[in-house]
Amino acid sequence: MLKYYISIILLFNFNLSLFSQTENDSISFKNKFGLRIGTDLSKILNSAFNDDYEGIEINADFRILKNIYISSEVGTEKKITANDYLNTESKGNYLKVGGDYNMYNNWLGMDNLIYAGFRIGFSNFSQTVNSYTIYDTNNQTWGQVSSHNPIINDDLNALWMEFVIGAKTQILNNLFLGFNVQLKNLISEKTKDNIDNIYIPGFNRTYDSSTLGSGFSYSISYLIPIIKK
Amino acid sequence: MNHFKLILLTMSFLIISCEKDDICPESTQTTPQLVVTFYDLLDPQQSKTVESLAVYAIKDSELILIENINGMNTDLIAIPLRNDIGVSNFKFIKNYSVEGNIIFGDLNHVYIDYEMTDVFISRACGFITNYSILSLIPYDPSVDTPVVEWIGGYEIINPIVTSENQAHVKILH
Repeated sequence: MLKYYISIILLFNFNLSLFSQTENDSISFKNKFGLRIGTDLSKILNSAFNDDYEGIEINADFRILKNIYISSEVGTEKKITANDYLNTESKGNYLKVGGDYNMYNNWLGMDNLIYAGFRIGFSNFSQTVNSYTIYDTNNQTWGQVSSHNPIINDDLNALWMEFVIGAKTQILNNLFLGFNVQLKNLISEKTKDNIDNIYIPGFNRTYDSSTLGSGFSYSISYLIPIIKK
Repeated sequence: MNHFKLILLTMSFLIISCEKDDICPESTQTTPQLVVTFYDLLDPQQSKTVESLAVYAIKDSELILIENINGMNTDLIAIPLRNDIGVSNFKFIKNYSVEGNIIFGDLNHVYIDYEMTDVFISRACGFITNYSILSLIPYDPSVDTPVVEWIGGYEIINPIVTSENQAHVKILH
């Protein structure tokens, strides 16, 4: 008998909630404004599967106008870069601040983004040369020589700007999956002992021939709605 | 919505798959060798060819022939210096010939003592070594009585070895 009652109540409740749901939906759609906080999944996966890398990034954006967002990323990274001659380890933190412009015209009630953005990035890091093999094409006589005395350079920094293109799509209520690519250009950097900065946290690897860099991020984020209008 | 996800996935895989390796280009400035020129002992401004010169490096009392200096007539050679310790020992051999394992010719021991500095070149090539020559001795310092062989004198004209564009040591004979 009790079972019966419960079923009735549940059924009734279900119907009621279903009814109220449709009622809510029929009310005019409002845009959600709020703080979206997320993390870069690619850095977490890379940390888990790659021995040479450890890193995590928290990203956030805040909608200030219908199509304009203030965006920021903060993170920490440790990366070992190795080739035939050189093994270095970079370790440090970074902060990026900028904005995104949403170019996507959403259907009523949808909150997806295809955006272009701009960032200023700053990183404070250390770089250690773990080991190196002397580059000597005439080493047939004396043999190859390697050094395993670490060269530690602390308190390095770099400043750069970034152009970002990406998309964010709402997969569940207020939960977003996003992807973006970043084109970077180094503005200034501090090096020591004339040793190039091989990897800059947040900027990623550097190139000998240019100040350009690139990156991507594959993020999951949650929107905390603050106001609807 | 589904298109969105598809684009995101393909883009991410495309980017992950294009990372490039770094290769040190052959044209890169390598660790410099010591450039030795030969001059006339009687007229030190006049360069003088050494007949059939060969140079052996001595590493752990083993003789290693420097490949491209194997019995040629020359007044200028470039010899590699040892990178793991700041001392290199050579045998300069005039009128050189070899039969089986027996070396014929006029031997002269050359001892070179120097300081090393490793200099960063690039991310792909890493470091090269530069040298600062401290002394050159034309005999074996571990032997009690120095003997004068065919090398009559020497002069260190450029003690700082950062390139092979100029001569570092002048040997008179």
